[in-house]
Amino acid sequence: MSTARLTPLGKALRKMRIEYSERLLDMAEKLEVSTSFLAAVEMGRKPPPNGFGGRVVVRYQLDDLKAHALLSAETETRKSFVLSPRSAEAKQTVALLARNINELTSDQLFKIRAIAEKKESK
Amino acid sequence: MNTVVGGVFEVPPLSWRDIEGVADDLRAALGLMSTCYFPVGFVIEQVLEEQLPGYVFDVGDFELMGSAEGETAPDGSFIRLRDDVYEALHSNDGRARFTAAHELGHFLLHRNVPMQRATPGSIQTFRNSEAQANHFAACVLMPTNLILPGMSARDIAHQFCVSAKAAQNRFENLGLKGVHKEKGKAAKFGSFPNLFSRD
Repeated sequence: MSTARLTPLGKALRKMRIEYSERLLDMAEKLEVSTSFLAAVEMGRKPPPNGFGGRVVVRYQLDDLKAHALLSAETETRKSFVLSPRSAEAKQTVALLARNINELTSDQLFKIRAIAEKKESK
Repeated sequence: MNTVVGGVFEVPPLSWRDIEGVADDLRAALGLMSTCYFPVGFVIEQVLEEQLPGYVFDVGDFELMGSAEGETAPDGSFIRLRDDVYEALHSNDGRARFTAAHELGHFLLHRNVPMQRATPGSIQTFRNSEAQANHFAACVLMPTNLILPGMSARDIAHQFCVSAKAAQNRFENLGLKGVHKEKGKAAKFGSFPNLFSRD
C-alpha cells in the first residue's frame, strides 16, 4: 500500500480547513468538486484542474497575502503546465522553453521571470 | 491494512477488556465519557490530524479503493474512507459510522505491530485483526457504562446512532456472552500503549 503524503497545495488547504473549522466535505461542496477528487488533489494523485487555486481564492475571499501563498503552493504542486501560444513566435518560444527549462541556471530563469513579470504589471 | 484485500491478519493477542480499555481511554481523553453519541468522523478527520503530525485523513473513490470501504496504513500515516462511506458517515449512517470506528480501531490497535496474513478460521479470535477492530468499534460507539439497564437493542441503535445490526450484536454480546464473561481473564495480555504515542 502506498503511503500518503500531502502536496504543498494539500497542506495549504488543510491549514485553511482548521482555520475555518471545516471538514473535507464542506470544502469540497464550496469548491464544487467531489470529496474524493479534493482528497486526490491534496495527496497528489490528481493534478489540480486549471484555475483551481483561483477558485479557492474567490470562494474563500482570501486577502492578497493569503492568495499569493495559496497560488504559489498550487504552482509548486503542479508537475506539468499547459501553455496555449497563439502566434508563431510564441509557439517557438514555448517549445524552446519546454526543451531547455531544466537546463537553465537560476540566473537565467530569474531573467526570464523578470521579463514575464514586467509584462504582467503593465 | 485490512479490507483492501478483504484480508484477515494475525496480530498480537488482545483481550476484549484490553480493547474496551483503549476505547474508554480515547473517550476519556476527548471528554466524552458520558456522551452517547461518539463523533467518529470528527475524530478521524480533525482530532487525529491536529494531534498527530504525519497523519492524514484521506478519501478515495471506487477506482482507488474498489470494494474496500476503509483502509488504514499499517504505519499509521493515514486512514482512508471510500467517498460514499465518508459522505454517509456525515449523514450519520450507522453502518458508515461503524466502518469509520473499525478503521480507528486498526489505527489505535494495529499501528506498527507485527502482522501475518491469515485465514479467518485458522486463528483465535483474540489474535484476529478484524475481530479486534470490530470489538473496538462496538466499545467506542456503545460504551458499556452508558448502556442502561432495560435498554433494548432498538434503544441502543437510537441512542448511539448505530445500525440495528450493530446494536443487536452489542446487546447480545453484553447480555448473553462474550464481553462480561471474558473480563476475568483479561489482564494477562498486558497493558496497551499510550493512545497517541507514535513509535
